[in-house]
Amino acid sequence: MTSNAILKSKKETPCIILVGNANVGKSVIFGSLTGTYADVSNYPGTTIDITEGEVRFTNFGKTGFDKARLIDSPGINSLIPKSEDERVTRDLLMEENPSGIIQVADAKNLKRSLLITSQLAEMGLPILLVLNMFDEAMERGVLIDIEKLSSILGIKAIPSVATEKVGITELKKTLTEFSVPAISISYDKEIERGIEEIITHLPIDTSISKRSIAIMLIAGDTMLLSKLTKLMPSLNQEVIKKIIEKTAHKFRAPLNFVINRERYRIVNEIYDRCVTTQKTSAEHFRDKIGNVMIHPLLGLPIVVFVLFIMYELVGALGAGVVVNFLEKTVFGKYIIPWFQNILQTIGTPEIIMQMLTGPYGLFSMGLTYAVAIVFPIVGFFFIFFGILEDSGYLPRLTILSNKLFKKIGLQGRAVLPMVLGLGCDTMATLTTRILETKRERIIATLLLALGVPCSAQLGVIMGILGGISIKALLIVVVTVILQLIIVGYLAAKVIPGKSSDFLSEIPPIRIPKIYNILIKTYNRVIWFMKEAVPLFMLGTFCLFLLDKSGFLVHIENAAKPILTGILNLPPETAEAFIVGFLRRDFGAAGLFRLANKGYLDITQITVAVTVMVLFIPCIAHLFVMIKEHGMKVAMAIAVFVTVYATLTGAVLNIILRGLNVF
Amino acid sequence: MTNNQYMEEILQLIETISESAQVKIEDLKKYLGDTEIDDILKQLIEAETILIDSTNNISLTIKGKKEANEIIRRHRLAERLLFDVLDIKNEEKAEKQACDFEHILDKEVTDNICTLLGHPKFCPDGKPIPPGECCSQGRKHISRIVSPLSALSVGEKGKIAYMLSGEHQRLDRLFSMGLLPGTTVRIHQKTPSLVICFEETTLAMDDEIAHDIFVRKI
Repeated sequence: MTSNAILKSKKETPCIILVGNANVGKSVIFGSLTGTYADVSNYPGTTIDITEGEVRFTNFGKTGFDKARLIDSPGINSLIPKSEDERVTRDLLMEENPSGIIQVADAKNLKRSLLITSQLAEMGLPILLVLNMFDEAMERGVLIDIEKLSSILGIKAIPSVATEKVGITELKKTLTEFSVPAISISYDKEIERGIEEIITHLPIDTSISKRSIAIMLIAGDTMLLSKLTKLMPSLNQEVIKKIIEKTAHKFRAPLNFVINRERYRIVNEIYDRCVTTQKTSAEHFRDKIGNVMIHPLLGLPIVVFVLFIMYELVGALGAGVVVNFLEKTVFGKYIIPWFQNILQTIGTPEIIMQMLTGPYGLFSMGLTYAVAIVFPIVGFFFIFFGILEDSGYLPRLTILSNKLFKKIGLQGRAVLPMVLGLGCDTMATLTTRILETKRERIIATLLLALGVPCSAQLGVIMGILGGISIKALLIVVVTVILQLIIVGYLAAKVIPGKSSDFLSEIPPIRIPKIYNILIKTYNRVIWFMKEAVPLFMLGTFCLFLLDKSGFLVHIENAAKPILTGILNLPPETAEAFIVGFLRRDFGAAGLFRLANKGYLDITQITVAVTVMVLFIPCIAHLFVMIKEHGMKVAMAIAVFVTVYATLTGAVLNIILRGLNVF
Repeated sequence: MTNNQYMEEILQLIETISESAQVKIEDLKKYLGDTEIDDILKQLIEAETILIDSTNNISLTIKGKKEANEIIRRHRLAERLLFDVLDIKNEEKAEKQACDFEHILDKEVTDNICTLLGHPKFCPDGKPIPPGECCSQGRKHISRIVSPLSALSVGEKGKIAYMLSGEHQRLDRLFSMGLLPGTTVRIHQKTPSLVICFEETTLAMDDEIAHDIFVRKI
């Protein structure tokens, strides 16, 4: 998109934007309108992903087109942006010159959606209103008179239950029938005067109404002012700032508040005219389950149970059975030998053979790792995660975890990347984006790098220690959790910046729909593979170069004195640790072999496993940290983690031997 | 001073004097130095608030005593409010304001002030404050009328009176979620995190946010 698309322009293919509050089902509607194909891209200059697809009209209508681009925008609470998400959505509306907006509303919380409708009306954008989750509204006795709402607003309003495909056919039929909602709000006369004055200073026509731009400016959107100045060099910033200041002086409350209050008044009037609420009878059974999940005491066994199921599904089934089959059988017996054969028959030079299928080969190691190991783990994980998400359990988990996370400089929302880390740390680091402040993103990344074992590792570690000694397993678990708390607590004290507010809306408990979970999982796996496979390949290639140049031996030799001197481990473990940097499960498996051969006693195994869990998970993870936080932060984290892990191992060794634990 | 206010003043005076002595018409004249006093007393008799016996002794009827107590209550609560809460240092000014307040506060406002102050039993100079209805109920629930959301117990409901916030962003966010003055919220649970319900929304939040939302308990 070009930067002056903000100015009125006629694009070739019409564009429709899905707009709505967070968690109202925009993505599900997007999916049912476009089919599964979607193009996810990063919005320029932000960490926010935008999904774009194509929608075909069953009814050409007056547009004369048979298809349109459909953009799924980030969830918003208001179009006077207060967060990056909201800014992106507002910018999309200004820049894409949409021919229509599909506003998705949570029918049971219609008031909030009408607030956005009123802002879209102000912008002069034609819309179509989808009242999603209509079943939940009915269940709770929120009765919406759709005809009345339609006629008051002068727009099409369609009830739907997107997860069950209810209302989608009708939506498809009416997809070209957009109209500008008939809501007009006049504010206090001082504000109106300010709006008028600003409008006279806005030089060129924009794709959204000048009035709405003036209102956003008055409500204190300073980012917009600098954006406008870039597009319209003739715009006099100072004059506009003066007008805003002058208007602000007339009110005791912030202008934004005064504007919102008036907006709410109008919205309430509309709401009261079309919505009646009936007292519903007793609590629904699902509500009771939801309450138990967030109960201070009863909630805890549920967490343990959920984590156990996750371990069984992702760790045992995904990382165990499926990975074994794909890695050993599919790749080990068929794909790799077959590929080697082809390479040999066409007479590939030895060095290329090594690069592709050697011990550190792009195919034999990189691709095998990405496809045979990470793919099934992440796939199973996303299925499980999707169930947690769609059932409404995840936001409830944030309630239980908020206080603990606050102590380590994070907040309840951080439970998402942390749980994801148990699946794959590389993926989890990518999702630290959902945290609001930079400080929180860095702390979460640090803790993921330090002490959250991925499921590939969990499986092998449980295998080694579970078989040898439950006591050793407990020592490792307690040590690692303790380090997470200590480091988190200290990081919260040291890293500047502040934590964000914990403010989390708790949706009702819902029964997840398998189809929607599969679609979601499919999209996520594709997203992840796109992001991570190149990193795994790059990592393997680095390792290949290190190996061929003989540098790997030097690193191993350099590591030996540290291992023997500080950690009291045999020098043979060096290889396991180095390989573990590419694949932590390989590293763990290396230890397993050494232990079996009798090179390690139980204290050494405990120390070695602890250190391995605390180390940077893998080389792909290191690359992801560089990608997300830049070289400086990533290196600082890597160095800290390496030193800290070694020291923890050393202290643990002294304690275990000093106290004669084994 | 209006006629009505005069009547209130005199009722108050009779009650104050009668705490220690017999009240005679002459006493009232001494205090007020007013020749219209007979007229006012006549009106008070018509309103069935006082009785005058053959020896010119004035006494309050049950109704009169109740009214007088209410006036005194308003006056002394006003004194407490002015001195303790609003921190008015100038005594003369505060006293004059209290005299004005006693005539203009209606029952609801008076009870709310009393609750706000925590049902005080004595005024600043040590005289007793006659208890009102709110006090006897208040002993069961002594919370203030307007209290932070975080001070409500589980299951209690409150209507948002006002919201403080240094951060506009937070205020905006709450606002656009539908949490604004006038909204009725119910506390669903307080541990491990505060969870509130309003309309069809369930919201979990930090205690710090809830400290800045002030509600009127209902």
